Amino acid sequence: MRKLELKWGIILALPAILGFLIWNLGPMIAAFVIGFTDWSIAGTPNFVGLANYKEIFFEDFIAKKSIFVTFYFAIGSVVVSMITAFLTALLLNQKVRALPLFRTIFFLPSIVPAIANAVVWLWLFNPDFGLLNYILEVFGLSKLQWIYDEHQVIPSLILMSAWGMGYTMMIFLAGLQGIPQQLYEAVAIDGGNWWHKFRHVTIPMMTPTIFFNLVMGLISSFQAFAQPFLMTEGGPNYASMFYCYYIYKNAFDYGRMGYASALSTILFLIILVLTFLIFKTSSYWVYYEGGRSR
Amino acid sequence: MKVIRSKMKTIKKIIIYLILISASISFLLPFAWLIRSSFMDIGQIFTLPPEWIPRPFYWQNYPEALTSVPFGRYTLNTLTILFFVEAGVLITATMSAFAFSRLRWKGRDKIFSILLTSLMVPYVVTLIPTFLLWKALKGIDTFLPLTVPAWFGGGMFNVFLLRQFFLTIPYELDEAAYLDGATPLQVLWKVIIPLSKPAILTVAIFTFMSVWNDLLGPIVYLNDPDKYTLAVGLSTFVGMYTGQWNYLMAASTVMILPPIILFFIGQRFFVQGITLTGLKG
Amino acid sequence: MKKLFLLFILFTMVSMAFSEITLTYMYWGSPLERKAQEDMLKAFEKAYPGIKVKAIHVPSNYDEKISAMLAGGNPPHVAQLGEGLAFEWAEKGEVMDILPLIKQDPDPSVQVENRLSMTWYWYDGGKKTFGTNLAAEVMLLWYNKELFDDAGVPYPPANPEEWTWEKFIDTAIKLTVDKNGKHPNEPGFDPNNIKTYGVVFGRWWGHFLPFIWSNGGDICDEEGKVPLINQPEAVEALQEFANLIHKYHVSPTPAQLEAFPAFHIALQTKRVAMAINGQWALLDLGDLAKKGRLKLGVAPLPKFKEPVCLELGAPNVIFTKAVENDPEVLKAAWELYKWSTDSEKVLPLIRGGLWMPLQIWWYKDPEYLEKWLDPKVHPPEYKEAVIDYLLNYGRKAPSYYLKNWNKIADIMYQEVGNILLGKATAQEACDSMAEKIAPLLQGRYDK
Repeated sequence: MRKLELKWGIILALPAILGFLIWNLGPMIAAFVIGFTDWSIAGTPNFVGLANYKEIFFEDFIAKKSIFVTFYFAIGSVVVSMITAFLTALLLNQKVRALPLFRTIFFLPSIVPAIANAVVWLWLFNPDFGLLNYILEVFGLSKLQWIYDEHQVIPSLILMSAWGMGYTMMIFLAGLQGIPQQLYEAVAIDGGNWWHKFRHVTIPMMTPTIFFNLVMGLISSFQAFAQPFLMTEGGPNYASMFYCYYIYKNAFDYGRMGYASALSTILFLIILVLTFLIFKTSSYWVYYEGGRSR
Repeated sequence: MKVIRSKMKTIKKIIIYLILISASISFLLPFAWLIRSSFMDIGQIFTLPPEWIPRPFYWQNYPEALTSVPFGRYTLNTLTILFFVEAGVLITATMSAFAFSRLRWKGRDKIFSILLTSLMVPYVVTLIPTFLLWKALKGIDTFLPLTVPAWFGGGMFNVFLLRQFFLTIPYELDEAAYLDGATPLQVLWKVIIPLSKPAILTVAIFTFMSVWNDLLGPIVYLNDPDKYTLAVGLSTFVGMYTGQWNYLMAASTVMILPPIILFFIGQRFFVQGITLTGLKG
Repeated sequence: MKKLFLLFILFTMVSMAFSEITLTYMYWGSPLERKAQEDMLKAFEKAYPGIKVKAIHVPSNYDEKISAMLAGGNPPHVAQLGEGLAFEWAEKGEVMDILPLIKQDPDPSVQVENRLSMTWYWYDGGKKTFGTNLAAEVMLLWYNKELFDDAGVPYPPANPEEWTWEKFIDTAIKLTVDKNGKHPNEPGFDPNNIKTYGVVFGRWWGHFLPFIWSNGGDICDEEGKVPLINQPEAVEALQEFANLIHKYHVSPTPAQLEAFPAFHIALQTKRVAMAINGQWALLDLGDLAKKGRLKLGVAPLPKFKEPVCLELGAPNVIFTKAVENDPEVLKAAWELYKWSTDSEKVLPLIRGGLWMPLQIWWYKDPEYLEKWLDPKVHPPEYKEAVIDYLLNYGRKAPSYYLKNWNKIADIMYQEVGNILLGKATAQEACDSMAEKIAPLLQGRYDK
């Protein structure tokens, strides 16, 4: 049996492993190496040692600011969009009418092409003509500056990410669908109420999807790019200068692919460490019915 | 007692509906704004206070936005790419996820973690090395760079997602099948896949969305405008400096209709969910 | 007759010389530009039967695509390119120096002295050039004449010498009206409910740099080494610019401006009386004027001390790698380059208002002027307010010569944003700007 599993394990994992070796590993190593050069895409790159890293750590005020901003956004958006998605998925897992319609509605914002989405949100966020301030006014609250204020821009973008939680919600929903009804019935037989069901069935059974969404949410929000690219241009005062946007600027606006590659190596290490930590802690809180300890 | 309970149930239902409907409205608002803008003259889009009914209805935005691209050609290209990508992802991601979750072999989790790093480097810096690779493989200006990688695991996002779902399935099921003399492939096909339909459907929908909206891939790898996809064709309006919001909105509305319909229909399979029987015996 | 025959022979020889060469031409732009460029290329293929042009219109992610193509060793033969990358790549020899080609070619349309001097990109200390813009563009002041008529305010003068900053402020105040019909200089004026703004402008450098220059200031010194942006002339101009919003209340705040996504609509719907924007805005403005929906006027930018006309754009270039191995291909690419930058060949875009011509005779020869000035599109004062303004007071943007320009421009964008948002005084922001751009000021390409 062991042998059989080893044989089939490798055979079936082979496409993914080969794919990584062919299409990912090379470019990743290339990017790492380019980080030690002054390559500008044109001409031959010159080896510059650690000069790029020295510049990032000691001279580049934008890089420093953007790391802070990116952490702020990534953590905020992961927390907010995961909670929104989880609650929505719970609601959409009830026996209500028109369920497909509701599910489609909550998935809608994730379907809209990024640029159209940006235009819509620019309008929503507009301090003078936007719908959000209009709503605040109706409730007698004072207007906000949203993405036009240094301190409000990241919370605004986090709020926006709650609307784009469709993918996360879908995954939670699929997870909820996968919980065997028998488990709930068992709790009911023991006289448990909805809280018991939630606490002792839903939550533990959902930990694998929560774990997935947490890891993927962090990986993707650390690489968020569309918001500054299409909406804020990193402003005001660099308050939304997401790290990946800055990498893009260096690579394609400033003609500094070498520097951009060094920046991305640092990002890679940050994401790697965070992911590693989450994986390490997962054995304490993620529950696999199929068991991993085997 | 019974009356109270059924009353409680009704109240609970009402609350759920209230929350669902109010949340739906807030999720629909941006979308409604997009749709109504697609029927407006550009002058009306940003009027104050916002107007919700186009006056007059500007149907012209649609023909204007759509006739500028060879629609049939681009749809065909998009569907071709979609077909090969979906097939590749569904087959190889399921295979790989199975290997990384249900089979025990040495180094499995280490290799999995290593593969996961492919998601951690921004595309900006890997784009050009990857392009050079495809050039060496003679893949430029073909659909190969857009489709072939899907047949090699279909991206770690999908593998990871399926792996998580496979891990929630009780292992006793596999063991029972193996005792009956099943091979790992049969276990995958007869036990795991039927129990993971929602997850697999989720992967299929996500894959559809990523191909459907992909701009960068086709733009970088294709040179011949005859090979462009719908997303590329309609993005012509999207140049931030053209400011033709009305066309942009019309083009976007057209772009999102097929995914919406597909998603709506896909729901039916989704709702069926899973009925695990004979478990936990 | 003999002449005609000789021409014919010459023509056949030329076309035979180009036996089936395929060139790649890459560009960006709106559907309208796409159509004009396609027509231009079709005409080219017709004129040069031996040359096929493969046109690649790239609607987004242009820089990524062209970078990948260049890195792959297959750049297009001729392509539009952002100035920043163009200089970076020209210095590495990837974008071609066309000066030797110009010198060998008698074609007047491409001679250095025959194109607006401001549109040339010089590098290597001014010894090399990769060419000019695809078209000329300048920053202007557009206005809605009806609003002036209704308010009984005289139109801005077309002569920039008469159009002073004080006059401009005065005009803007008179045209700014709140919900109750009050002007900013009247008691009870409500700056939060402005019905018609006096003037709108954008946040990027094209909008404020001409005023800094006009006040005798600059971003840096002549050599491109020392920041001057925190000197009184520049600071004063930027402060006045911000005053339009916060002191005179004649302009929307940056946030309010976001609801003006299209300047031309704001002008047409009388949300604003005057708008600072590029010449290219005439494409949309002219369209409205043509349909009788807007009484369009145009003026130079108001002056502080001296009038200044900012000229800017982005170049068309030839890629060395694509042409270096085959003299025939080089010849063909050169013909295509000349064709694509010959304003005659893209006349619809010029007559439509999007572009301005490159060759000098378009501005000086009445016959040519008539060819590109469409009276239905170009307002009557266009000649004085735009053409004479450009010819007499034109100054090329720093994007034509300053090293690290894109990065400097990004830093200015953030800092000027702080001024316009009222978060910092001009002096504070300019001091910060000077400090941040100092290490980036590494001289000029052309000196």
